[in-house]
Amino acid sequence: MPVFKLLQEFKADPMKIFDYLDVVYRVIDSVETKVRSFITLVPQDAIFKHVEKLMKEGKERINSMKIFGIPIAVKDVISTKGIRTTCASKMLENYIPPYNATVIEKIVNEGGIVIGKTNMDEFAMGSTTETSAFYPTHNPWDLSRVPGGSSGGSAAALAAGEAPLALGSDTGGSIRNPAAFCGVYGLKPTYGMVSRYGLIAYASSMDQIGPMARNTMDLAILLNVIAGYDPKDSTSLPISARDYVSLLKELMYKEPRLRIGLVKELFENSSESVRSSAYKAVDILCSYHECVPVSLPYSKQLVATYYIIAMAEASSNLARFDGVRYGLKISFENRGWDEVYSDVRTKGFGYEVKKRIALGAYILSIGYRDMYYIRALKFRRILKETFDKIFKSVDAVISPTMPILPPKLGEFFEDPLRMYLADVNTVIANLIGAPAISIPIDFYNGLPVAIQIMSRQLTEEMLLYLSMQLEEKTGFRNIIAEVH
Amino acid sequence: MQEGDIISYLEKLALLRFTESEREKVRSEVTKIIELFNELMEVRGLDNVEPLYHVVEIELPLRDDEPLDRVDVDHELLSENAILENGYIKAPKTIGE
Repeated sequence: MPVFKLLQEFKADPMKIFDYLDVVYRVIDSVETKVRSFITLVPQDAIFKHVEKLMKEGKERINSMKIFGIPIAVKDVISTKGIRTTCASKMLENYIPPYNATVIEKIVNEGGIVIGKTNMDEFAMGSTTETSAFYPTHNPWDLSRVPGGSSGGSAAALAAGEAPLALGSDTGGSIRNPAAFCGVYGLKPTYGMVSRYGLIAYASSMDQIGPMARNTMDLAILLNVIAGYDPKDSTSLPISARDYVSLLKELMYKEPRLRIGLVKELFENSSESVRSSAYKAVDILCSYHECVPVSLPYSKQLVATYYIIAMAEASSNLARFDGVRYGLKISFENRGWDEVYSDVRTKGFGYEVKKRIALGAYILSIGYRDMYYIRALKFRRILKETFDKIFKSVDAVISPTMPILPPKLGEFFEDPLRMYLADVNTVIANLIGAPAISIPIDFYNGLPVAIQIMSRQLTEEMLLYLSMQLEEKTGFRNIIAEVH
Repeated sequence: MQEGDIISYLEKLALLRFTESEREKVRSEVTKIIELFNELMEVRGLDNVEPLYHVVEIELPLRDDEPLDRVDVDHELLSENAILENGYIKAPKTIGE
């Protein structure tokens, strides 16, 4: 059942929250050993106690809550007070944050219930959820395949029916990639629209928290809860909150005709299976909107730019895990700082994280900083200006979300460069700070295929509108995989 | 790039170590990744472009130096991990290494 219907039921009869939670925990019991979406699950009795307290809030307060009684799965990179937050890393295996991220404060204030912390690539570094230090998550549509990443646990939890809403974070596609591979909806908001306070940083100039759901309206509901200015995040945009549910309804009523750009290179670079499904979505949208081809004369340079900036920022951000204030605890009696620090990082970080930190340090070192890092930042400006121009002539651009179908587990481990190159469609939005949505549209041989739509900064309502139009035509909504 | 042992150089630079079994893998991957990075050298006309460090080019807001939420540093923030002695965090020695 979609969240907007659950809300009506829960507000009419709050006891129904318990029934629904029973269903959710039964599903988790039956599929979790196969899918492994969660790293930490809050026990059902603790959740029940929390709901009992929630129900004591006055009628007026309950009615005003935007997600009263709705369970939410939260990516394990977002700090939750009293609930272990590991970033899927041995480094933080036992870390229990003493405070909530701003998005969690907002969710709790609006009556949402955090039921667990979802699996991910270690410190969000990966596109398959296989770099998790604990175990990989499996794609509910085909357990031999990856769910995508790095928010793979959140996407898998939605697809398997383990939660009706989820939070992910997206630095280079980490919400949209797993949303596409698992057949759910995922939105990376405009940079600065959702507070990053309490989000454990990977690459700060591109990280953004966003909503994931099984239909467009639910995505808008969760976006309403988490968006807004936060004085605790210095890059938070000082803008007043907007009601995306109303904006979406209004746009669906008025149905304005938009100009949509088809990024031809990103279609051409996709596999045949993805392309044929993606063109179905294009046909639907272009039968109503005006579609024009747009050209993006870069491909590998986009991926190179993204990884240079991400690794450079990561090497700096992850320096905080020194084993003294945070991180793995090892004995340092009579040993010097460098030795202990190096030991902590060697034992606490997994292979992919160590590789990215090492390359980040290299990129920022004397002699290479101008050659790689500064050059990448210059190219980033060229890219931003290119898209500023594109968005003067079109309202949105469309491409497949991922150029390939979900790979088998282990497939990318052999060839990580192929994994990096598969991020080409998604990294653009992070480099330029634009919002982008992944919309499931079809199945190809039983595997989900999705398209991505990207638009100007702070025009999320337009993405939701196009998503809803597609959803109504494809009927791709509230679909849960049968896990076997 | 430093020839000789690039991996030892990276380990020194980043203050971490790869295991013996990781070293071969990382060596071949790092070479390929640097080749990917070198794709950027083909982009012409970047000389007079200002680097874009951040997409939100707004002024960093300032506020009074007052805590918004006071987290109990000793007992909450650091008790999970740090070794505290007389209100100080105990750390490995930094002099005379």
